[in-house]
Formats: sequence, C-alpha cells, structure tokens
Amino acid sequence: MHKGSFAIGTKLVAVAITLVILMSSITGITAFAASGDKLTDKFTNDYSDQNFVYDRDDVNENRYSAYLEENSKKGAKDYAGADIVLLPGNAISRTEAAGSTKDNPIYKDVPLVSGFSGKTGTVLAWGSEYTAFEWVVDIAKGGFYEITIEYMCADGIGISAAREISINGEVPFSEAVRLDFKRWWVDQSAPKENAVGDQVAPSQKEIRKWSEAVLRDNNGYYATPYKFYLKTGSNTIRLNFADQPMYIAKITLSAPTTYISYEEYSQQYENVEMSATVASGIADKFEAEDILRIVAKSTSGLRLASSTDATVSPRTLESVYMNSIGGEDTWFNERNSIEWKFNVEEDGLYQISARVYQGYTFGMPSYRQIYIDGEIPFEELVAYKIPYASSYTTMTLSSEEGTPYLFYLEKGEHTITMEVVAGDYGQILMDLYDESVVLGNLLREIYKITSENPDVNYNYYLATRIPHLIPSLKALVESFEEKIATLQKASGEADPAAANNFRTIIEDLQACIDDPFDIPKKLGSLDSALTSMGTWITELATIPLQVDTITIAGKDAVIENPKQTFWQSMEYMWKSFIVSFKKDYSSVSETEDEGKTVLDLWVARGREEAQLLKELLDEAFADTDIAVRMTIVPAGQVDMGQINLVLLALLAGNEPDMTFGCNGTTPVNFAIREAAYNLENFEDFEEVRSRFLDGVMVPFEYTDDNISGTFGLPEKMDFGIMFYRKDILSSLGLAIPQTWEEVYDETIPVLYRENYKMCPTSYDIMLYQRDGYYYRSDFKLSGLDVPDAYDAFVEYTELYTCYSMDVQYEAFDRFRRGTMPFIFGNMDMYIKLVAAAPELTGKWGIAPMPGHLDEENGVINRAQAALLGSSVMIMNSTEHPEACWEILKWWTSAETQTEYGYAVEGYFGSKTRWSSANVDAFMSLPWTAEEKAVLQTVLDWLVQVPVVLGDYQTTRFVTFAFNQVVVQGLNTRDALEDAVESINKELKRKQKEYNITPADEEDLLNPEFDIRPSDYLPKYKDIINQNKNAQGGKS
Amino acid sequence: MNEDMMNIAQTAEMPEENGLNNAVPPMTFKAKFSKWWNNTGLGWAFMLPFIILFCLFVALPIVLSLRYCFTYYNMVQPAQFNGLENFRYMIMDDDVFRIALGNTLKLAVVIGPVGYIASFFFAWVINNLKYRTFFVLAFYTPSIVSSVAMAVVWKVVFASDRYGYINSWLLQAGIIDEPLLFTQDPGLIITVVIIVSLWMSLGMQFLVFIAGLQNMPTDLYEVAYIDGMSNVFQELWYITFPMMKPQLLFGAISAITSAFQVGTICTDIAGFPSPDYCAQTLVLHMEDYTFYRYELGYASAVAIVLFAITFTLGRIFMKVLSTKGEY
Repeated sequence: MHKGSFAIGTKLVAVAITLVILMSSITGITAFAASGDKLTDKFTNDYSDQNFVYDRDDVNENRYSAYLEENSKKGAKDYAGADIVLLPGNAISRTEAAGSTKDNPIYKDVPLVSGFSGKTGTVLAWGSEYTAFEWVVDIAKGGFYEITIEYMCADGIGISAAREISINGEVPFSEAVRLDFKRWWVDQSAPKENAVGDQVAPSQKEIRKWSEAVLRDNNGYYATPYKFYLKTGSNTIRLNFADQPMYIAKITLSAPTTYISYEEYSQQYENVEMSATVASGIADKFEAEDILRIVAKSTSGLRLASSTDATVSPRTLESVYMNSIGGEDTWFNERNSIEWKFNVEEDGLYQISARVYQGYTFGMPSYRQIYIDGEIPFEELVAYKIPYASSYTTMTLSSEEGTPYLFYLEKGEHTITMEVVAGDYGQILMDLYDESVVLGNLLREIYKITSENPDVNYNYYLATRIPHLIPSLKALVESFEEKIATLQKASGEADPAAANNFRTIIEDLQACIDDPFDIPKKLGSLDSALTSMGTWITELATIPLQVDTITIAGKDAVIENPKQTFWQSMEYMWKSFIVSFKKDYSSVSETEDEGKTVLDLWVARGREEAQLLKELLDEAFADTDIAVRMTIVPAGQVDMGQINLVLLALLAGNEPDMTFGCNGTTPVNFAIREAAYNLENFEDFEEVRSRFLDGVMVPFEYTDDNISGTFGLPEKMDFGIMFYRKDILSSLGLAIPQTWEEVYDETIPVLYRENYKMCPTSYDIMLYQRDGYYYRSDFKLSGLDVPDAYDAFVEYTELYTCYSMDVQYEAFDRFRRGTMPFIFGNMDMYIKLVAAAPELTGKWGIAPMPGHLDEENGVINRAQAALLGSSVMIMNSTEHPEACWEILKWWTSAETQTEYGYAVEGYFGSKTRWSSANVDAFMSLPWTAEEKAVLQTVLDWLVQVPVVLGDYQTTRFVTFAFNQVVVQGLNTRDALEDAVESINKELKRKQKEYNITPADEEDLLNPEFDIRPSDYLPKYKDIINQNKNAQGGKS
Repeated sequence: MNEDMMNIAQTAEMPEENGLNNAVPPMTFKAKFSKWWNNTGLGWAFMLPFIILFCLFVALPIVLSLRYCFTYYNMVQPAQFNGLENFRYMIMDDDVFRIALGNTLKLAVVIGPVGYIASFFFAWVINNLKYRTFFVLAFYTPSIVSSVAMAVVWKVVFASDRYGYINSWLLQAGIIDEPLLFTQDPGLIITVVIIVSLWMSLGMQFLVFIAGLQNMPTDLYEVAYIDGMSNVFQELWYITFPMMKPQLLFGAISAITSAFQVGTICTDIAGFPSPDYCAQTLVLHMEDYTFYRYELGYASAVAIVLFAITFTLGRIFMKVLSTKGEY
C-alpha cells in the first residue's frame, strides 16, 4: 500500500517536471518567434512604393496595342487621302561598305534590277548582304497609315522572308521587329501511292510571284493590318534585313482599310436578279485537296491529309486517301493560308460553304480570315468564327444567327482564301505571355527568400517582405477570371477546355492569397502553373482546321450536312483492322526495277522521316543502276546494348546491305566482330571523310592487331552547349562565364547568394580540357591513372561535394522557372526550348561551354566529348559495296544533308532539327548569326570518345567512382584508382578474347599518351605547335 | 487407408478383364488403334499444341544454352568449344557474378515467401469481402501492366529529389532535411527494388489463390461446423489449406520463378548498371554479357546456373507440397 502511493508520487513529480519543461520550451519558442519578427523587419526589402503592383502592362509596354492607344490619345487620326508610292529607285542604301568608318560612312550601292519578272520599272534585289534601306517621304497630313509592300521572295531556304521596320529612327512597337513576307507553295503532283497502296502527301514546290503584303501581325493576334503613325513633314521609313532575300517592287502608304458591315454589303446587291435554276443549284463544288484548285499555300508544311470520317470524299477505307487538307500540325498558326479557285456561270448572289472538321479542343472555336478575290468583302469575315464540332460539319458562311451570307459574284473565275487568325484568342495569348513573365518574376523573388528547398514550417513573412506579392497575385486572379469570361463568350459553352485550366490556376493563386504562410508549400503548384501557362500559349495559339470540300451554291440552294453514322465508323474500324494484317508497314518501298542492283537499306527512323529520305533517294538514283529497298526498324533497335535487330539478322544470315540511324558506337563494335565494312577501301574515302570533323570521326576509326580502318560515317552529331537566361543575367549583372575558374569565382557566388542554382557538367569536360584522354598506350590501357585525370575527377566531384550541385535535376523545368539560369544541354534541349517554352522566346541565348585556361598557350581549352549522334554503316557481307558507297557519299554530302534537313523541318516544323554531322550542312541550317558564331566555337572543340574493346567498363566504373565519392562520401583517390584497376582488368580480358597483345607491364607504370584530344583539334594543335616553335627558337 | 482401398479396387477389376481378353479373338489394327486413341491418343492430341510450344520455346532453348555454355560465342562468329572456361571464370574471376547471385538470393528469400504469404492473405481476406470482383481487379492490375509503366509510378514515389512522395512527406514531417537518394544510394536501392517487386509479384499468385478459394465446396465447412469447428482460423487450417494444395503448389513454384527473374525492375529503378552493381541480379548479369559484351557462351553459363537453382528449388517445393491425390 505504502509502496503504491510512493509510486504514484514519483509519477506525479515526473508529470509535473515534464509539464514545466514543455511550458518553458513553448515560451521559448514564442520568444524566439517574437524576436524573429524583428529580424524579418530588419531584412525587409526596400520597396519605396508600397502600392506597387506587378502588372502585365509593365512587362511589355511596347506592344502594338499600347502604341495605337498612345498615338490615338495624342489625337492621331486615320489618313484618308490617296496612296503614296515609294519606289525602289528612291531607296537610300544604309548598308555599310568596306572601309566605312563611324565618322565617314560609305554605303553600298542600291542593288536595282530593271525588267525583272514582268515588272517594267526597276526593282530592289535585296540579298542577305544588305542590312538596310531607307525611304524619305513627305507627309502632308500626319496620322495613321497602312503600309503595303509588293514583293517576291528570292532563292533561299524555304521559310518566309522577314524585315524589321523602323520609322524616324525607332522601331515603333515590339512586334515590328519581324514582319513576315510569305513564300507561296503548291503541291508538286497529285498524291502518289506508296508500296502498301496508301497515298502519300506529295512534295511541295515553291512558286514565285509578285504579291502585295500589307504589314500586319505575323501570328494573327491582331486580325487587321498595323497602322503606323507618320508625322506631318518629312518621315524616314527604314527596312532592316531580318531573314531571307527578296525583291521589292514598291511600297505603298495608304489610308487604313475600313470594312463595311454585312448589312451595308448586302444592301448594295439587294436588286440582283438571277435565274431560278442557278439560284437553287450548286454552282461549283470541289475537293479542297484537289491540287488543280489550290492556287497557293503559304507554307510547305500545309499538306494534304487523310481523314477517316465516312462523310469525307473520297472515303478512305482500306487504303489511305489524301481526301482533305490541313488539320492538326499543318494548318494552325502564323496566318497560314490556302487559296482556292472556283467558277460561277452567271452573275448573282451565292452562298459559300465548306465541309470542315474542327473538333480538336472541346468547346474551343477556330478563326479564319476569309478573302474573296484577295479582298475581305465585309467586316464579319475579318475573323470568322468556326465553332467546335466533334465531327465533320458543313459550315456555310453565315451570321451569328445562322443566316447565310450571300456573296455577289460575277460570271467567271474567282478565288477564295482562308487564313489563320487568332480571333478572340489574340488578346488572351498576349496577356498570357505577359502574365507568365509576371508570375515568373514573382516566383523568382520568392525563391530568392526561401531557396528552392524551403522549410515549410518556417514563416518567411513573404507577404511583408515582398509587399507587392499579394496585390500582384490578386491582379493575376482577376485577369484569369476575365479570360474565362472571354472564352465562355467565344465558345458559347460554360466549360470550354481552356477555361478549366484557368480555374485550376485561379484556385492555386487564391490559396496563396488566402494564406501567405502556406506559399512555401504551394511553390510546387505555382511552378507547375507557370509551366502550364507556357503550354496553354502553345495550345491556344494552335487553331487547326481541316477542309474536305468547298461548295459555291446559289442563294436559295439547300446544302447537305451529312453526319457519319455509328455503323459507318464501325465499318472503317473493322476494315482497317482487317487490312492491318495484310499491309507490311515496315517497308517503305517495293522496288520492281529489273536489272538494277537492289540494295537493302534499314533505317532506324520515324515513318515520315524515312519517307522523306526515300523520296530524295529515289530522285537522286532514278537514272542510275542502283535501286534501294528500304525497311524501317524501330529507333534504338540497331544500337549496341539493346536487343539489336541487325545483330539478330546477322545471326539469321539475312542482314541488310547497309544501315542508317545506328548509334555512334555500333559500326566499330560490329567491325571488331567482322561485320562492318572498312570504308577506307574506297579510293575517294579521304574526300568524304573531310566532310566531318576529325573529332567526330573518332568513334568510327579503330585499329588493333587484327583489323584497322574506318567503319562508319556519322550522320547526325550532338554536343553540349550552355544555355543562359538573358533576363536573369542582366538583373544580376552577371557575365557569361568563359572558364570554370570564372564559374567558381564569379558566377557561383552571385547565383548562390540569390538562391539560384548552378548546373553541373560531365567528367569528359574536366578531363578533355586538361588534354587528358580515356585511353592510352594504343588504347590498350585506361588513361585515368595520371595526375591530370585525378585532378579532373576531383574538380568534377567537387561540383557536387563543394558546390552542392544537384545529382538529379530537371534542367528544362528549372531553366524555364529561372531557378537555374545556366544549364548545359544538347540539341534536344535547344529544340525543346524553341518549341515548348514559348514564353521564354528571346529571353535565352546559347554560349559555348566554359573551358579551362591553357596558360602555356594562352587559349581557353573548351574541348568536350561530343555526344553520340547517329551513324551509317555498310555491312561486311554486302555483295555491292561500291553501290552502297555511292549511296553513303550521296547521303552524307552537304547538298543532300541540307535538303533533307530543310525537308524535315518543313514537315515537322520547329519541333525538330536535323543536326547534320556534315559541317557545311550543319552550318547552313537556319541559325541566327549569333548562334552561328557560338556553334562554330563549339565545333572547333569537339572530340568523341573512341570505341575500344571493353569500353563499357570505363563508363560504368567512372560512374561508380562518382557515386562512391558523391553519394557515399568515400575517398576520391581510392574511388578513382579502384575504377582504373577494374577498367584495365576488363580491357585486358577483352584483348585476350580477341587475341590482341595486351599492353606491356612497362606501359602500365609509364603513363604515356600517344594520342590526346588536342590531336583531333587542328586549330588548337596549330597554336600548341606555334608556341613550341617559338619557345624552341628562343632557347 | 486410401491406398489400400485403391489396391482392392484394382485387384477386383483384374480378373474380369483377363476373362474378357481370353474370350475375344485378337483385335484388328483398327480396333487396336481406336482403343489406343480412346485410352491415350486423344489425351496426347489435346496435349500436342502445348508440347510443341513447350519444346520449341522452353526445352529447346535450355538444351541450346547447355551446349553454348561450354563455348565461346559472340553471336557473329561461330561458337568455339572452350570447356569449363566459362564456369572457371564465373567462380574464380567474376566479382559481379557473386554480387548478382547474392542479390538474386536475397531478393528471392524476401520476395518469394513474403509475396507468397501476402498474396494468400490478401486473396483470403478479399474472398470474404463484398464487391470481390472490384478488389480482385485492383490487385491483379499491377501484374498485367508493363514493368516500365510501373517503374514510372514508383519512380515518382521514390524520386530522389524533394518532389518524390516519400521524400516530400519525410521532409514535411521534419524527419529528414535532405532528400534521400533512393535510386542512387547503394544502401537504399535494394530495399526499393524489394518493395516494388513485392508489389508487382502479388497479382499472379493472388489470382490463382482467389480461384482456389472460390472453388472451395461450402458444404465441407458446414459439415465441419456441425462437427464442432469453432472459428475461421480452424476453418483455414483444417479445410482451406488442405483443399488448396494444388493452388498452393502452383503459387509456390511461380513465386520462386518470379523471384529469381527480377531484373527489369532493377534497371528501371536504378539504371543499368546500378551503382556498384548493388542491384545486379543474375538475369541482368546475363543481359549484360549478351547485349553489352557479346559473350553469349558465358551468358548461357549464367543462364544454366539460374536454371539449376530454380529447378532444384522447384523440385523441393513439389516434394513438400505435393498432393499425390491425397486430400
């Protein structure tokens, strides 16, 4: 009993003590929090204007809309007089010639051509060597003018020509820096059938014709042409070169176009009489894909398409028919247009209708600007709305209420043009651009305070430290609500697809506004909001439309609107299912040419790309005795380390004659096993080899006791480049680092201070830039057992251990978000940034990777291991090596590579770029001058890693060593030495396997390099040699 | 007791048959054939498709690799006999083989029994639930979905940055302050692999067990309850287990084979090769020597070892769980 009460007593005491401790710790915490308040006060950012709200208008104050508003406020009125014509003869050249100085500029002559292409007067032949021309014009009455240029594109690559306009010395608004002048295209021929009986979209042909382009928005965000303000008196109008050569016949300044309403238009033709049969009949009905009806298309990407809907004529069942034009990925942006011609037999009023498919995004309408005979007849057609419909519909041009518009057409031939405009999306898109910048800036300000890994339980006082945070978020929410309202109105639906997206972002933003303490927790969703805004820009700007037929009918005619029935769609599905057993989709061509040398070619590439290649091939080899049977194999299945189709074919004895699209290591790996043909056997090999960089040829060259030669050719090359955010760099006052020293001493301190992160790189860079190499002694031993390699390894691992760079990171996302203003990436990253990050357009640039200063020779060594591109090889077992060689020569030539590169880009748009290994072809891709300079530097420093027997061991064990040091925290030297030992062991084992004399014991102890990266870098080698000679001369 | 009864039945039948044979003159060929066909031939005919496929895709490869495991073979050039060199290298020189064997056994020991028990447990629980079909579907789905797709899901859960689910929870709870490198740290990788493969291995055995449980005659339970059985565990122990022996045997065999065949999951999670070969298994080792090193002879040797282990363990389980017509 006594004992029990004692026990209770001790328990009570224990509880009391615990309570006291708890209480004190709580008060301690509150005390800490209180003092924390003061601390945060101390560190509050100094924003003098407490009412400051980040607004999208601050982001881009140079937009056209602002320009228009500003000048209208000043009282500018539309000009109303006669046209003023500026002729090429009056142009003043502003291109500086050789020997020109700042004080005494000398200009090139104006390049005038007379009697060119049907023009009686002189025209301006503006090649890329001329940067600018000016015209001076006296304006009697200042005001808004429209500017029209009569132009014709000249020889160049297949993209639009572009010029920048500046008036009186300044670019009037930001959109005026690039004004497009379209090239015109038609289909070369009617669609042809391929090997399996499917029709294939024909290739494109450019047509040159004089056309008049009124200066207007390239993307159709503003549907009407730009109005430029010209002051009373003398004005200077200057055009600057932006892209592609073109001829200019004249420039017209005119009164801004005004559009009459349909009501006014119809009143003019109220009393038109027409015969009853014509009035109730069909005047003309034609297939939109009929190449005889298509007058011109504004891009080569606008191809014929196939639609499986049963109501589309002609119907496609077993085999694919090109039965429509346009659609997803072909007719969706950049004011691309199609012009068709048609006939009417009698003057009168007609309805115009088209069978269209516009079922791409739920509820979202598509807009087209419609011209009859090159003119927009009335206001309603400036941005004609085509509502969403889930299947093919007959769209008769009609008013919102559904009354068909009646067009007055005279007897004879007419044209109708449909051109993409953004319609209601225009404003939303521009706002989204600007708002994504606002949100991006806000996020960066938050990250500056919280870092990328915030402590979610800590109060950062974000709302007080960034006073404009909450008001700015509120402004964003309001603006998104506005957008939803606009979209609802445009689509007539309560929930069009995009509106839901906007609601999600509103929810996220609202949560942040409601509880700023939780913002660190919400950073992830804010980041993803920013990313999705970029996606929506792409999505909203994508407004596809597919057209089947166009019908011109009399005013009283009834136009059918058939709908596909369920059974019809089942029929298609069933038939195509059955047919899928019959067709051999892997074959691209069935060659029937008799008496020709037939070569089997396997191509590891997508179907469309293979088709393009095949077209080029057939064209080039039509008159020779070589024919090619091409087969598509899935990408990656001709690479080493995979279930390799070519290897399996070799086993079975039915391998092809040659293979395209294998990875860089495949040819030599096959050669070692006597399966790849030695290209050095051909007489003109050296000439072909010179098309590529020495450094890129490395993995195709191989020598051991048994074989020696070059066994493949590169097709595509890839390499690392540095991407940087221009906006962030300028806000931090940072320069682009040229060496790693600069990265450590200048870039990293600034970045880390502001909570930005730096991107790590690879071991190759550190090793190569010390002129170290992976192998030595005839490539028989690992070259990593020398001090340089160790230093490189230390520097490489210290990126993580000292500078705490992340082992795993999403470079693209973090670059986009701006938390990593520098990233290292390859060509894919370049394409991704161009295609998938529209909000970053113009905000990033590329630079060569940082190097190491070679003090002895006074150059920055920027050597890097090129990444594996793809390659081509001839199989050893081929019976026609010479014929294969002809094809390889043709394929790797600069002309073919350039042509193919443009064909691919024309087909897929900016989503792809053929980074040809042929240096000339690579440099002639559409790079900007700035990019060209950077890429040239990069190419000067490329050296591949050689393919060696057992080389996989190097990759593996270097990674292991890295992992041991960075993740497991083991000793650097031990890790690297263990790796070298394992590598050498495997190399020796593999050498024994192939009866190669292994390296001597002596070599093992005596690190000697017979080849270093600098041996593949001619420019660097020259500098080293010069230096050596100079030193030799001195001593 | 059962065997005795059968013997009696057989002996009882014998004389009758003999009598018949004596009375009837020798059979014609047609009669002989039709008798053979009825007794055995028809059975073989039903088995034939399986036998052909089995020989073509299971027996033949095993025989071929038995041949190749004594050769040097690089796929392109003809195979050369090299005796026991592959096995010598495997045992004496190949450090990675030892790691792979260790890992494989480790995975098998955990995944095999745990997966086996877990799938039986889930099958039993779910069999007693309402909306059984739904749960069955939910449990079976993972094993139909490709391992790559699964790895994508699990990669999000075990992502090494702070956005991975587990890392994010642990960070929020304040248990860790730096994300754990689930897919890079050799100490953690094997655990992750075990968890993912356990989850994936459930489906197949689970389905077999569910099938077994659903075929259970309910009258047996009724009888047992009348005889004085008092709870579900007795039910499980005295009736369900014995009645389910064939399914349990099949489940065990498939558990062993699947546990020894873990490979792709490791690659999907930790990459190939995993850091320090910490998640290397025999299957991966085989692939390594086939597709990276082009030493098919050696890969065949590894395959034979793997086959021997699985086969032996399979036999042992057969012995232990064998039914032999006994209930």
